[in-house]
Amino acid sequence: MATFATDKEINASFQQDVHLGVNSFSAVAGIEDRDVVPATATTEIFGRFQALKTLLHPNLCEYVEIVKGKHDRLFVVFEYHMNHLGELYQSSGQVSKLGISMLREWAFQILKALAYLNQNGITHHNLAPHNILYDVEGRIKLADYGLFYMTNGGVDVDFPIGYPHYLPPEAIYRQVNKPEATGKVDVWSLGVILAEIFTGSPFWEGNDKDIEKLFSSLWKLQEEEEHNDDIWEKFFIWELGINEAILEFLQGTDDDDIVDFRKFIRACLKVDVSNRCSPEQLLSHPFFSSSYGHGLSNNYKYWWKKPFLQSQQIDFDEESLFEPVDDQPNKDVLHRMPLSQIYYFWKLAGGDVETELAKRGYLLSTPPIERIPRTVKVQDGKEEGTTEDTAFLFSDTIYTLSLKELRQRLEVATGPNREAFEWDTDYFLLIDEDDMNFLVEEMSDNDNSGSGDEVFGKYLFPDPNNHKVTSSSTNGQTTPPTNNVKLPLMNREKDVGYQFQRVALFSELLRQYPASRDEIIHHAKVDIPPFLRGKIWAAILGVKGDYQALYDSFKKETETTTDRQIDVDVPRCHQYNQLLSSPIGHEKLRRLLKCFIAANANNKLVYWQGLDSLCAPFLTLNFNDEALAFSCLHTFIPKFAQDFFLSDNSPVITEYLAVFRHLLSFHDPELSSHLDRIGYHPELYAIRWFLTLFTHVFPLEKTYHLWDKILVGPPSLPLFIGISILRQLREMLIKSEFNDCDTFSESFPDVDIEKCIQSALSMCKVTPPSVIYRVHEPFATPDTLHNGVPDHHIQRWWEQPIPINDKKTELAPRISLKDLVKLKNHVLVIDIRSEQEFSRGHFPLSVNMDPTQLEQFAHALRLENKKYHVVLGKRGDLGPQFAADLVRANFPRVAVLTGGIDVMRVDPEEGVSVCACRNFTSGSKNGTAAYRKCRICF
Amino acid sequence: MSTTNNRQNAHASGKLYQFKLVLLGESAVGKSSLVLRFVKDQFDDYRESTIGAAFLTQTISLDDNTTVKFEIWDTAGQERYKSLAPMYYRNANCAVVVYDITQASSLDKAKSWVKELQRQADPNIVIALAGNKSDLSARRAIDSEEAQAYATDTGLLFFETSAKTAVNVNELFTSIAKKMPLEQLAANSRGRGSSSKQRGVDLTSPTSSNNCSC
Repeated sequence: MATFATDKEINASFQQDVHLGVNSFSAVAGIEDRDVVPATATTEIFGRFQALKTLLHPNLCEYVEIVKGKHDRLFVVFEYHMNHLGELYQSSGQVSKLGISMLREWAFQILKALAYLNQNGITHHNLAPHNILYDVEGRIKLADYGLFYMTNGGVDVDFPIGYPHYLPPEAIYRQVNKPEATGKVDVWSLGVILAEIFTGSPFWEGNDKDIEKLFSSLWKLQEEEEHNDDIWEKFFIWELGINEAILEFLQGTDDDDIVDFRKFIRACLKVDVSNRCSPEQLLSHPFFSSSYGHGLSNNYKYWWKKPFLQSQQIDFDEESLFEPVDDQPNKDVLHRMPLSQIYYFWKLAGGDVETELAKRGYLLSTPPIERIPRTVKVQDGKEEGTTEDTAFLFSDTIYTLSLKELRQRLEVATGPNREAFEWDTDYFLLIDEDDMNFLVEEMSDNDNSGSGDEVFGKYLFPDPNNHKVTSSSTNGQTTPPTNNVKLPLMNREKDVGYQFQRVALFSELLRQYPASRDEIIHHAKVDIPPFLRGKIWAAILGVKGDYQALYDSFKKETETTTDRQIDVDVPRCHQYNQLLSSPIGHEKLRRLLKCFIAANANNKLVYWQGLDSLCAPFLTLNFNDEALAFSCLHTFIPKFAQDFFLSDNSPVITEYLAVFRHLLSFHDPELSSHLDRIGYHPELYAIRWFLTLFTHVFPLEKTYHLWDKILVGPPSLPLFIGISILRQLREMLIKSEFNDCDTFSESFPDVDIEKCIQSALSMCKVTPPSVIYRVHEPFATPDTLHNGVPDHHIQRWWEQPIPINDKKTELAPRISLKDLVKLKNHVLVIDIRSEQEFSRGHFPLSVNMDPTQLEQFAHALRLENKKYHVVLGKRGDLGPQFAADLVRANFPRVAVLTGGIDVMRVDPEEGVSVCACRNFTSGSKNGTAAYRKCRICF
Repeated sequence: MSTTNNRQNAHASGKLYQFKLVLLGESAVGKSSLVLRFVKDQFDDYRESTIGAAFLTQTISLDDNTTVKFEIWDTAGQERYKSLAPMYYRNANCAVVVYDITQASSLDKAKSWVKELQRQADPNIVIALAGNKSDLSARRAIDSEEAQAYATDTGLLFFETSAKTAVNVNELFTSIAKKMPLEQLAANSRGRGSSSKQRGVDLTSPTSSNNCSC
């Protein structure tokens, strides 16, 4: 159950009072000397932020997203609640009346959150009353706790992090370049805040502007600490500008009921860091022991830790977790929705944090000319003039995003008058009754045998509307088949109502994974909602079990000889992408690649340049789940790039490219023979296409869409996509000479992915499987061989694989007798043997001609008006050359029958037998050249 | 001067020579960046690695009467792709072997490429050695003098280049063009248009074949 559900999804319980808050800042303009490829501070922050999204604690506001706006301004989106402890300060009369038990509850929850942050290597360093929020149930929710972490301890930004008023001495007087802040910093802040709330008096005298006085007091505190054991007992403390009320409380001796509280605050306010407790330690302070004997407050009762991640066993006790508890008729559409999802829909509904904030006038945008520094360095490092543009510094103002419009849009989308989307799943089934469909064949074959991978073979679903489409891929012209999914993919992806329904559907299916895998694949054929893409891909690939343990089991740190290569490639891999260009992203990609190599050492797979690109989509989609990214890659490669990464992959690649060339001849003979004539061979441009499954060709956004279909399509789909790309550029290519092809070897900004996939599928449908057969394909069994060949079976000459060098030089593919028979009346069989041989026996309805006389008979062959042209000869004859001639003469779908006449005699297929009629008609008028046609019907 | 202009000049007057040029060298030394600078006068900090090979052309004018067109084959630097290299340097008239002045090992790799070219490629091939990333002289690991001495000994053209700042990039390619035995090759160049076998990369013959078969 719930294999891919995260804690966040399980605990999603959106309440009315939750808001999406935003604050904004900019990183330091430019950090010098960051090696060859300068990772800007912005990118660093962007990368570090990602881990914050995974944090989950009942007392922490969730981080939702980071957005990079204009001028590298960053916007951080997070969970926000309207109430915060700072409000208590404004009504100071009330403060001191708060009971100790309330303070205890707050202190406990804050410490719990801080301890959790510490466990995750995060120091808050920014704790202040106004960012200690609480929700409608009074539960504490810390906000802004990630700023110090994401900015690498403040190194990446020009503003200080933390409020000096609440910071301990060591946070101010820390040694330069030694940002060793620990959770103990936050313990001090907590002490100050609680003392203030209890006494109703600010800790430090004077106002916030008086920063120098504050700093000197903190300095003195630190100085004196060295000579004093407990500084709060000393007299000099009264000279530091700490409010009397605070000191009276700290030094007090009476009031037994607050003695534990006082001890607790004094423990928080230990000036010497080594004596101060960590948040974790403080949780066992006597102050709490009476109330929380078991270390748990009431607020943790309904909080679930991911209890069954990656478990495939159904645990019925957990079942109730997913059942809607209350089914009120008017419940909020956002109810129980994870915040990240709400934010995603908010964006789809037209939301944009930058314009939102600009609209409200919160972004002070300085005109570019004003941003030019007008600072002049004068003597002694002093600067004169306008120093900085403060508009880009941090402001702790939090803006809330209005969810009103989103609610309205979603209510319409889910209401009774909602738009009904037809999720037609017949994407692969566009049957042209007047043409072949080998995908249907493949499915029925697999159903009969009941074997094989469950994904492959099920590319089709019953067609509810029985659409008829016109044929495509005959002689150069492609008519993209009409598809009855109403809107273009791009529009569907931007439609909030549509995406809402898709996300709901897939979320539910993912919860039931792996049992729901077939259904996921079924629906994924229509489209994949981008919000869940990473997990849906994993489900389609069949990732299951404890993938984290699998990932952990491989050594990723061992030095190998490939390290240098990986190190130079990783910082060049899709660097336009914010995640992949961040230092964290580089680390992750490096680890993934090293893990892949470690995991495949036994399979003899190695790192080839290009593997980095291939890895990129999985990493960007699962940035916070490296193990899942790895498992996706690990299951993907054997299915779609089998043996491509062998240290000697040349037989595999050579064969792949040869088949690619055959396919091009098969579907576009004119283009194929043109490229062949000018010498522009697939080896020159297509290696990177297939080695990286197009990730090195297209930007990630296009790759996602391409892979959405590759993952649910037949394994040969990439070959057809390659042909679609060539055919989209056909007009340009057909006019090009070799030297003009240079524009072609770059990227393809104009290639339309959706059209590309449609055309690839329509070609795939009409292509007999034997035409694309490869010795190196996964689970290869040539279908010239019968299943379950007995051991004593003598291998026939045509059953031996064609030597790769022959395959490479041939322009047209081979076809098996089995497939030929299926072509029935769509095919013209051209027999090139002698007249005597022909009359002794031939394929029914075939024509017989002298292969050297093609020019003369081309017209007659065209008049036959067949979709397929199969050359039949005998062993070692000119069949392949003649087939190449047919291709050059622009005959579509040309192939050579594997085994020629011999296969018909020895291994007859059901439904066809050698015809020995002498009932020929001659196609030749002058009688010098021979052209005969068998007139016997099937 | 733009490529188009050159092409027109070539047609209007003088001679157009066409050469096949191959770039070789260790991974990430800046082969693709040199080509990008030469062909498009651009620089990209995050240039993706080259997989297999990439093909570009650029035309330069040597003087009013002479125009040279380079068919440039930019190869993948990873050692594993080495088996593909003969496909690209076979029939090449000239080669640029690139190293990175900040990476000591890259010069060794360059030297081994030079050896391979001298052994396997066309005996008349013109080879240039390019020490790229000269803008990063602060991190220099290879002395100019050392590389220059090696180039002189071996009979190579030598430049320290920077694809980033464009220093010496055009000079490198122009010098190669000037060093080509133009008259000798004129006959070949004329024949090339009609013979498809001579175009591009020879994929069929596994052994090194003679450049001139027309």
